[in-house]
Amino acid sequence: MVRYLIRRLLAAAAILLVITVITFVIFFALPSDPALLACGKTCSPSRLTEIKHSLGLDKSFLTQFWEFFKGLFVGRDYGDQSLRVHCGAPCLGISFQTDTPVLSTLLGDFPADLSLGLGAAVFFLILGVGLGTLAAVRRGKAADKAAVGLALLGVSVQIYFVGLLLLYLFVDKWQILPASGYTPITQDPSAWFEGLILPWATLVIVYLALYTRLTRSSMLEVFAEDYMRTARAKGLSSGKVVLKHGLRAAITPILTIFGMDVGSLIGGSAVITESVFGINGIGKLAVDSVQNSDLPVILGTTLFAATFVVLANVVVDVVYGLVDPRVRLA
Amino acid sequence: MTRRRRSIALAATAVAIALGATACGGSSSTTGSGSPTKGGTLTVLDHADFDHLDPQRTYTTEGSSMDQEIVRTLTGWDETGSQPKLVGDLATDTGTPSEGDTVWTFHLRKGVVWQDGTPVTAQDVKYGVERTFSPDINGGPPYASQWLVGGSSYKGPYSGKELASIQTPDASTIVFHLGQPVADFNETTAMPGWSGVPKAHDTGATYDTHVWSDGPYMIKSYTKNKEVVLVKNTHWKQSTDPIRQQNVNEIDVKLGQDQSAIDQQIKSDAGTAQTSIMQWPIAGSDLTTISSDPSLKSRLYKIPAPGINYLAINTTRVKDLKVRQAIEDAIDKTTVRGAFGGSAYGDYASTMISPGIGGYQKFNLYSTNPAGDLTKAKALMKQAGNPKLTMSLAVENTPTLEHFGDAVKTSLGKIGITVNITPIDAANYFSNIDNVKNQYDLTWGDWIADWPNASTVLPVLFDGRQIAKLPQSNQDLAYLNDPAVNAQIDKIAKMTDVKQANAAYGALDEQIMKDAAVVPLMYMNFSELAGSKVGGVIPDTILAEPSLVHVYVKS
Repeated sequence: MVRYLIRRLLAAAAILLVITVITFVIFFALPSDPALLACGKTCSPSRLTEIKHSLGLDKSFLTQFWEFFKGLFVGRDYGDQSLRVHCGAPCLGISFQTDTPVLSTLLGDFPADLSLGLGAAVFFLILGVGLGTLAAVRRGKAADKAAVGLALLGVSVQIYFVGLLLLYLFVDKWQILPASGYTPITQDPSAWFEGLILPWATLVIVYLALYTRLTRSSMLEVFAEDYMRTARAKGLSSGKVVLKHGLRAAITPILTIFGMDVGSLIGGSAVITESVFGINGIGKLAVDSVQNSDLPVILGTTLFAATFVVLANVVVDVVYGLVDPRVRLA
Repeated sequence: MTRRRRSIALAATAVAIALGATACGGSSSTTGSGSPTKGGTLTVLDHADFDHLDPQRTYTTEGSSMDQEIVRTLTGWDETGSQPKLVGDLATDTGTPSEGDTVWTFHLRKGVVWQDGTPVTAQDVKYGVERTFSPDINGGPPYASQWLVGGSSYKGPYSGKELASIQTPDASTIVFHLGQPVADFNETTAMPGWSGVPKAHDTGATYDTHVWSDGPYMIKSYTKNKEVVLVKNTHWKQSTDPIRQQNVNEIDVKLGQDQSAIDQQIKSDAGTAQTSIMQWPIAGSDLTTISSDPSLKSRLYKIPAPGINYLAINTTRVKDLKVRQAIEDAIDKTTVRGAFGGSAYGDYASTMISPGIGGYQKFNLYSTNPAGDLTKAKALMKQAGNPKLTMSLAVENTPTLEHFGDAVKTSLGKIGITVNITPIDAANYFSNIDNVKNQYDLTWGDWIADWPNASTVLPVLFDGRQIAKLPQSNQDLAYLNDPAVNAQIDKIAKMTDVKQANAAYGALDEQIMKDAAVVPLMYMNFSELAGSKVGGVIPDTILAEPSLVHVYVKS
């Protein structure tokens, strides 16, 4: 188990390194110039050269990559003359746009994404698996049709539509919930919860569909297995058959998808939800950084999100072994 | 100056239509005059962070407008009257020119202090202006380095050097030596960069979040892309400030919510929305609904911008004057304006200098019907030999600009010109079209004057010599390099009489329009909405922003 974990973590590190290299290459292939964006509306060539130097963009590709890579482990210094600042390890760089260290921005944004992603994930997993199981057990009946219909509706509507609609109804029209925004849980737990109800609901509505359908089809497949018939023939209660024998086997593919969804959600993929509800998370940071050609932030957000997706996959693989005895970890 | 446009254009039109049908109209606002109330918190909802709040770096209307609360500039605009009036702000008056407008002297007011109570000195202002020269303090306007003697080789104060052409004979006198006559230099000094920065509190590239205040409000906290909290600067004295008031206790700027959500929230007037205001214009997709709702009229600010929305024709690629004239007559400005939100967006334009800017003269060389004059346009194409033309048109990849592209394509299709639309990523749009290597025949552009004078419009947009000088940030989108125009620009720059210069600018505008290098489309308005308890908002026609210098919240 330990050896397996070490191997997986090493592979994860290798993947992250590859992602860093690819991000760097793509950035340098982009036609836009961050120095020009920083320079402003009227920019003379000599001023542009100075700004390029000040941002470190006049150095070669390899030098820039090496400095970034080194900064991850030993930190690095920025700026000339009296403006020198130190960025301590692990240094992800300093944003071209905001002149703030990328790591502190990421860590500042992370609680919002963690709250949003993890909270929504708990709800859509429980509800989705529940509805899916119900639909499978009551296959062809009204409950099945209702669950599948609901899921279809959820998968058809878009996040920005659901988000703005919920906002309009609950905040502007009925005024049941406060105007949106994220409040840290450490600051005011009840405001944290109230502010996240609608964003969670939005994500749940959209993700629920997938999990309901996935659980339903996976369950139906398992129901057709011989051992299910054996279980029933042994005279086990139908609840035990469905939950212990059926669901446990059916949940593996769902966990795979769930791991990736949670990883990418807390890594910042809920960007539209963030934008609609004014939650400044990593997703929004990533989109803005791409539009502003802000390389340090592009790299930081990419690495951050990738780390979570990769880690979530490791966790899922470990959980497999616990849930499904057929999977043994070498 | 630019107003940065929305970067994430969510497909909000569908939502706006869906929600517009059930628009609630329960506003019981009684905005208007009345004496300001003290206290309370004003919430400002902006969908994106400021480009900068560092006064030497900001070059957007939102940043400049917010800076007015925090920093004081040498001169400023009093906009309480019917016309904006230039007044001394840090300075006692609007400055004294000498030696043919090449030397400008300002005397600082007594009693103006920083947030720690120490006096604002001429040396602080000199240091502040010198900061603009540093490559680390980038993003701001180019005027200081263009005009101050020795500016082209000076690299800012961090190298330990000073700029000799800014002199401070005593703590309250500052003298600028310019390399050329600038008759309206004292209007330039109303821009945020012409303010003081105390050397001891300069944090260099991170000054955005640490701006040291000599205005009525100071930064309590600033988390980039999230929130700025401004609180009262207790050392600020009303008696020293001819422009600002200090009514609310706190200004809370919340950054990063989608513009449609902001529109919807302030429109609902629920909870804190009552004491909220926006700095960015209402989304194009919401504009018609909001501007035509009578219940919102009292809290809608439709502010005429000193700016122009236009289509530039690359004169080095579309060389035939007849074809360019045909384009002028063929464009249907009614459909073009529809793309931007209809009549609320602004009046049809026929000149490049907009009303409200010194030098504006009303004339129209082309179709008097905004829908165009196809007969005339077709006749001009015939005179040009009815060429089969295909033209590329660059627009931003936002729904608004893509609709604009379609409108142009339809108009020009009618006179036999096939238009291929190239949408460009909005954040990189201007750096793309400002690069002289671009290959577009037609480009969309807009421009807001830096101060209300044609000197920040025509020379910026039509001086052809910049094509060689500023190959990556050329603003002459028409690539007009007419020696007669260039010579006239130089001649007007030397005029010390503003009235004479204005008349000459008006004539120059007409001369440029004869070249048919640009199609002026609309004189822009920017519309913003405030909650029912927000009072004292002044429509700032210099920045095209709802000015907060007199703002208060009703109890």
